[in-house]
Amino acid sequence: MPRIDRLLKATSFRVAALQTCLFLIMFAIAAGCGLVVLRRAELRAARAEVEQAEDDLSRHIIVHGLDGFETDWRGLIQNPGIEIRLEDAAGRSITGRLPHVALPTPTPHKVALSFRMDNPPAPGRARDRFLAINHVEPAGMRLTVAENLTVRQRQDNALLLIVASIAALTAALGTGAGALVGYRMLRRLDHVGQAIDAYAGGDREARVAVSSRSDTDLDELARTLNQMMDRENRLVEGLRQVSWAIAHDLRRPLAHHNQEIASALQQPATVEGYRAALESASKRIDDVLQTFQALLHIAELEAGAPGLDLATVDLNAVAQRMVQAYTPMAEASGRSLQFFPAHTPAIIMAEQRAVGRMIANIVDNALIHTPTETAVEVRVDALGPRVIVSDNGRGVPEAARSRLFERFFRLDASRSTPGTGLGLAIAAATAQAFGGRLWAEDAEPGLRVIADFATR
Amino acid sequence: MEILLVDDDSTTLHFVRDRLLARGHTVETALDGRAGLLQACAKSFDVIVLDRMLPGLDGMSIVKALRASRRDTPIIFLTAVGGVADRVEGLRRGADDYLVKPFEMDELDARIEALGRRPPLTNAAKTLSIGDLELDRLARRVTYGGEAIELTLSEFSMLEMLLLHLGSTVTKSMILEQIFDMESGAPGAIIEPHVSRLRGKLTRAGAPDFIRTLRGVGYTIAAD
Repeated sequence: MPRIDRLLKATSFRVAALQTCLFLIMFAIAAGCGLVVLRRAELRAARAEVEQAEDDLSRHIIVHGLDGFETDWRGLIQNPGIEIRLEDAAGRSITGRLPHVALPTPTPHKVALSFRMDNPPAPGRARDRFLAINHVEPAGMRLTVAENLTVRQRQDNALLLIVASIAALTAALGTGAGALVGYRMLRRLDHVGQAIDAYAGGDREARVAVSSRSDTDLDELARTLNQMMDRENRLVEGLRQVSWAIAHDLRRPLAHHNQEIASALQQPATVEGYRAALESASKRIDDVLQTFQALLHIAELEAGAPGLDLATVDLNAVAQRMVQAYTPMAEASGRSLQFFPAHTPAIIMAEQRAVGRMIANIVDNALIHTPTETAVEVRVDALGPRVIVSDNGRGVPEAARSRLFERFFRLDASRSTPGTGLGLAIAAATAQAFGGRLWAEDAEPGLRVIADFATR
Repeated sequence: MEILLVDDDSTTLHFVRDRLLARGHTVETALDGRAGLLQACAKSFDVIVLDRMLPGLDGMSIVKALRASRRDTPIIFLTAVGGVADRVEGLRRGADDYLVKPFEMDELDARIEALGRRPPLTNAAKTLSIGDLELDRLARRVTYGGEAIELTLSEFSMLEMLLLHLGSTVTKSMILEQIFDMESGAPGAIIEPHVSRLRGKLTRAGAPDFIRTLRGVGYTIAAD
C-alpha cells in the first residue's frame, strides 16, 4: 500500500489525473451542449415532416374523400415513421394505428402537441414520445398525424453512448499512462536515491544508472548527479593526494631548514655564519611558500574559478608568445623549440594569462625533463582547438603517463631536477577550468602532451 | 617618496613600513579602510600601497572612491594568493599594479619605484638613451654610437623597460607580466637567457655592460 500511496502522490500521476479530469469535464460540457442543439434540430425537422404529411393527407381527403384512404394513406406520405389516426365525429377510429389520445378539443386550426403513449405496448417499457398535429377534417372527422420521436432519441442515445465510451476509454488510458509513468519515475527516483545513499555512505564508485535507450529529463538529472559525484571524487582524491604530498614533500625542506638552523647554532657565533644560515633559511621558506602558492592556485582553478575574466583567446597567439619566451632558454640548454601554428585562429573562451601559464608549464616540463639535443615542438590545431607539445626525449612509461598531472608526481629519473612537481598539475587544472582537458601519450619516441578544448 | 600604506595586518604593516623608511621614503600608515581613505583624500601621496581585505572599507572600494574623485595617485594593490578575480577587478577599477601575497620586499620596492617615477604618458620620451646607446621607441630601433643593433621584439621591450626605469630595479615578475604577458608565478628562469642574449648583442656592438643583475630579484641599468 505504501507504494500505491507514493504513486498517488507522484507528480507525474497527479498531472495525468488532473489532465484526465479536465478532459472529462470539457467533454461533458461539449456533449451536453451538442445534445441540446441536436434535439432541437430534430424537433424542428420532425415538426416539418409531420406538417407536410398532415397537409398531404388533408388535401387527399378534401379532393378524393375517404375512398381508398384506409388502405392507401401510407403511400401518400414519404416518412415511414409517421403514424395517423382518423376518427369520426364520435371519436371512433376510421383508420390508422395511433390509439385514441385525449387531445385538446379539436379546433379548425392545426394544433401541434407532443404526448407519450405505448407503441407498441410492452410491459415495463417506457412509453414512446410522439410529436402530433391534430386537425379537424370535413364532416367533423379528426385527423391526428404523429411522428415517434423516440426512434430519433434512441439513435441519439446510441451515438452519445459511443462517444461517452470513447471518452471513458481515453480517460482510463490517460490515468493508466499517468500511473505507469509515475510508477516508472518512482522506480528511477528510488534508484537515484539508492545511489545517493550508497555514495553518502562511503561507496565512492556508486553512480546513478543512465538509460541508454532514452534521453529523458531524469537521464539528464542522473548524468548531472554522476558528474557532480565524479567531480567530488576528484576533489576528494586530490585532497588526499595533497595531504599526503604536503606531509611528504614539504617535510624535507623544513627538515633541512631545521638542520641548518641547528647547525648554525652549534657553530661559533659569527655575524657571517648567522647571515649565511638566515639567507639559506629564507630561500627554503620561500620555496615552501611558492609550493603553497601553486597549491592554492590549483585549488582556485579546481573550484571552478567563477571570478575568472573569460574572454576570447587565440591559442595561436598565446602559444607563439610562449615559444618566443622559451626559445632562448631551450637553445641555451642545447635543445630546440619549434612552433607550428594552426592556419586559422584557434579560439577558446578563457583567461589569457592562465592559458599562457598552462602552455608555459608544459613547455617548461618538456625542456627540464628531457636530455640535451631534444627537439620540442609546440603545435596548435584549430580543430578542437588544442595545443600539442611533443618532444623526442626518453618518454614516460605508460603506467606513469596518467599520473603526470597529479600534484607532486615525479618520475624517479626526475627527482633531482628542480621544480615543485606542480607545473603539470597547474596546467591540467587550468585546462579543466576552461572546459578542456590535458592528457599525455607516447610520441614514439618521447612524450606528447595535449591540451584539448574540444568539449567547449 | 611619500607613501601611504594601508594594511590591517600590523606585522606586515610594520615590516613594510620599516623597510620603506630604511630606503628613505616617508611613510604614513592606516590599519583600516576608512582611515586609509581619509588619509588618501587629505594629502597627496606619491604611491598608495593598499591591501585588498580591510576592515571598515575594503581595498576595492577605496580604489573606486579615489578614482571617482579624480585622484590619480598610483596605487599598488595587494591581493590574496591566487586571487585571479581580485587582480583583474582591482586593475579594472583603477589600480596601477598588483602584487600577490606573500611578496618579496624587493619586489614591492621595485614596483613602488617604478610607479613613483613613472613619467606621465603624455610626456613619454620618444627616445631613451644612456651614454652612446640610444633606443628609438617609435622606429623600434636601437643604436650604439650610431651603429644599429638588431634585437628581437622581447629584447627590445626588455631594454626599453630597463631604460624607462633607469636607476630602478626591474623585477623578473615585472618582465614576465609586461613583456611576456605571463603571471608572476610563472617560471622566472626563462628571463635570464633573454637578458644574456641582450647583453651579448650590446657588448658585441661595443657598448659597456650596462645591465646589472640583482640576484634573485631582477635587473637594473644604473643612471650614471
